[in-house]
Amino acid sequence: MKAAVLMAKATGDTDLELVELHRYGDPAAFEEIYRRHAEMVFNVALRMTGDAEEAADVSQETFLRVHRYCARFRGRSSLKTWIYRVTVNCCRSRYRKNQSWKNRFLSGSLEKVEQLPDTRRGPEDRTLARDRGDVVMQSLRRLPEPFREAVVLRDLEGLSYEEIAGVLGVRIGTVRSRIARGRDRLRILLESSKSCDTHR
Amino acid sequence: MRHASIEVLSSYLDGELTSDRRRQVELHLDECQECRHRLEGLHGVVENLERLGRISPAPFLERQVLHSAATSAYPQSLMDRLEKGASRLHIERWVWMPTFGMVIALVSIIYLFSWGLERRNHGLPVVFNDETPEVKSADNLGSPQRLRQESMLGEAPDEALSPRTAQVGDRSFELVDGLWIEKGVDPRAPSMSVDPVETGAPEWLEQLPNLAELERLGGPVRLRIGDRLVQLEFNRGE
Repeated sequence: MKAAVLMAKATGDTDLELVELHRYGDPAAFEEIYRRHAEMVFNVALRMTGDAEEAADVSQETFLRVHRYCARFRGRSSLKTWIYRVTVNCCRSRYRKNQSWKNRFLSGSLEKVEQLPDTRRGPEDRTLARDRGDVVMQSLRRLPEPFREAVVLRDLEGLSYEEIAGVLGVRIGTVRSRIARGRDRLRILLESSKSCDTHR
Repeated sequence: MRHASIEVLSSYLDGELTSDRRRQVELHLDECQECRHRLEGLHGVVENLERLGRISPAPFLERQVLHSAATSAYPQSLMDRLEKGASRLHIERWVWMPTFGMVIALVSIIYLFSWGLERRNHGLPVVFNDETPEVKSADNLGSPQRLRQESMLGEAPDEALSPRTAQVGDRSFELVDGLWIEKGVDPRAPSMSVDPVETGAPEWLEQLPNLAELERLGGPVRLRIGDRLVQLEFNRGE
């Protein structure tokens, strides 16, 4: 069994073989599945949640689901697409679980956010937020969930529109619209933060 | 001038437009500064996102995930167990799933059938034969003749009202309301009531060779003897 996993490692495109080996109860197969997709899952979770600890929890939950439901995976899509779908679902359920009135206010209605000056930050926080990466991450967190999912999968994970449609279970037209609107809202948020810094 | 929509600009950026549409957008961008500005903004967003880069998960996460998976607290569902078992036996899903479905359907049908039968027994008539004590034929005392009774159960809740038939010699009788009536005899026609055990019973009663069998039926018997319509009342005097 170990030899089969080593073979799978060597031959490359053998996700389905790994799934088969996992079905037979081979722990090495699951380890290999984890190593192949851990970074991808963690990064999606990190960009979706905006928090490293949350991302670690989501990763763990995702792989436990993969471990459990792998036997049901039939290879209609690639294993990677399937794991993306599981990750997005885990993020959604965690998001819903943790959603407080504050979070809802921040990410649910962007129109309100756009009109409000960011008065929550003090001078120290603003200094920290000067780092562009932080600003981008903050802005990303403010996007409504469907837009954030589409933008993360497209611009951070580099998935095609078709793949994103498969992951999110929506039509390509919807994906196109969500990406465009998500980017546009991010543009507005980034421009407003830039002007905030300039006026400071 | 009609501006390009944000969807069109975003798709243009991703190279997701047809060549004709792309050319149209480029012509428009040459003329429209506002759309050019929006496109640059979108391009800036994509660049900013790409600059975020990728982060490796902490090494402890791998240990944690693998340990959790190994000691997975998830209870396995019946489907998971079936799936795993089938995989180990090299049985494809398209084989075991219909088979499993058929077994379930068969069990359900059997259950429903037995339930329906039981229900029917309580509501609708079901005919079965009832073994009765042997009755010795008067014309052939050496070979006992089996008295056959057919019961119609369930037709009426009162067992006394349920009709039964009996065969004595070559005569057939039917039990109606506690009275044995010979087949072919009109139960409403007036008849002569006679106790055959009583002293002074008419002589023509001796034409009946199987009187003892008739008595064993256990009730009054109405029958035709010659031209007479007679109702035999056994032990009337007691």
